[in-house]
Amino acid sequence: MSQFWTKIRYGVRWNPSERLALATRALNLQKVKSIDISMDPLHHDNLSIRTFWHSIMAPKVRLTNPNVRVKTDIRNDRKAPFFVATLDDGQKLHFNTENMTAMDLIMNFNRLTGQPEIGKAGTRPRTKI
Amino acid sequence: MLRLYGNNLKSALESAVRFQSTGHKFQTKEEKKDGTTYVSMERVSDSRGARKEEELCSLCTCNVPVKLSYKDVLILEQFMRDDGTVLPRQLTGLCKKQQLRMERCVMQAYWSGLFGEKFGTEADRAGYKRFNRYWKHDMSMYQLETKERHGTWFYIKRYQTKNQPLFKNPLN
Repeated sequence: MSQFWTKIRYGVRWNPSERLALATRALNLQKVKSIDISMDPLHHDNLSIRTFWHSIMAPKVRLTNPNVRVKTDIRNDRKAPFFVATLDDGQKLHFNTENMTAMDLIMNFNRLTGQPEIGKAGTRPRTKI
Repeated sequence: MLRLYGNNLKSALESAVRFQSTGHKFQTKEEKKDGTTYVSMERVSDSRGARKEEELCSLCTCNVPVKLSYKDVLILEQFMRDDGTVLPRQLTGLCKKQQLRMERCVMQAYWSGLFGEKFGTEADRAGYKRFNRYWKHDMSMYQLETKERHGTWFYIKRYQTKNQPLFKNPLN
């Protein structure tokens, strides 16, 4: 099957993993005050919130706002994972990440925090520390 | 769901399969409640219910399958989105065979330039594909044919036959 065929079938015009990488690139915590992650490590569907957790702890994302307080609560009750992000203006975002892919999660988070959903592709200059 | 599972075991199994294929779809749900935005995923189910056994796909009507070709652009366009991609089988309601044929025909229609500029020009036209290509029918794309060149020794003197050492001896 040719590449072209895989492209036209199922309306797939983009690569999910590439999309996730671009969404992670656009992460910006400027308007975020704190993030409270609450998850059960033994719940079957916690990959997306772990990916999100990993990507907001990345140095480049932390540098966008070093004052963000990330708090985690590791539960043992087999309930769905969720996190609450408190924004600067007092608004709260409550994400219930069950059945949500990491791409959806990060793109929605970007949109609700007023950032572009996906970042630019290509190389970028090194940030000056 | 009761209506679906009530008939007999076979249809129940089939509907379970269909339920599996269409039931695990989720949609983002967003609601605002006193300063908090709740985002979660919501299950979307197929309202059409299970596919029945006597249901034929729209190209296999009356047990006489319609032979779709890549020249039937107006029919092919009905199975496509505005961006030039093909709708999945859950939406077109075709059987597996016809869906594959339809996708193949769409691909060929791109390569023979029958869609024109309608779906953009980003289709794969690199190299030799920049020329329009035409086929007799959709499967003839896969049939390799050898070109016969009459009056040549090509078929006979393909390999060197004279003065070839049987074994290569590194000492000689």
